[in-house]
Amino acid sequence: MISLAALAFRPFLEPLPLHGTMLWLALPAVAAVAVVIKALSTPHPGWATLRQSAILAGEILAFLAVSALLLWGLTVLA
Amino acid sequence: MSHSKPDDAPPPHVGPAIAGWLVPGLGHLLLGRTRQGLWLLAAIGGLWVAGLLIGGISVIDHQNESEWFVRAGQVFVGPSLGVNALHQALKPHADPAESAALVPSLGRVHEQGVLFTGLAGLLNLLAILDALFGPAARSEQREQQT
Repeated sequence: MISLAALAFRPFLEPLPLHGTMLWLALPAVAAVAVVIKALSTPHPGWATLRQSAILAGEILAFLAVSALLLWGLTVLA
Repeated sequence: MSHSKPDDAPPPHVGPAIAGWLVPGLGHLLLGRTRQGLWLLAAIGGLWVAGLLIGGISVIDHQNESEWFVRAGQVFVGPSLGVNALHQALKPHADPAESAALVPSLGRVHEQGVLFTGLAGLLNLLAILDALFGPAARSEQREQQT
């Protein structure tokens, strides 16, 4: 039997209860990829880099969405 | 497009590359590329910590052979080795009947944690290579000037 103390959430030891919001986790992952790519390709990153990162993140997300739609279409056709 | 001579190439920055492996962005900070270092620290460090927070420290487990291709990326963030050691030290004492801690969750939360920490490692590999072999941004500018 699991005690009440064991049910309390302990950061870094137990997973966050994010089962219902899984797709939203793609946003920070894509944002981090875009920021790192732009930070490495710019000698002095600033606010303009942040804007460029946002554009790149949007492009990556759009590519993911289109790919998902195509794959979904394939599964419907098959 | 110009091809630089081998004599022109600066020696690799081994120390900053190792520092960048230990703490993402630290290599760039040591090289005086402060803004890049801070951005990398925020993005890669944030992604790595977020992965640990999402899935718990059980997302870094070298004994788990599944998802090995993602786990291979985790080693490019140095502190992953410490977290793995901590996980292995705590695991024998964890009683699944008393606590869910250290037991990988059944579901995609665990996968997301593995993905976040693995992605942080692969991004840090880019940062380490950039610190080791010189700024990619400057060489791009040089190519544009010539």
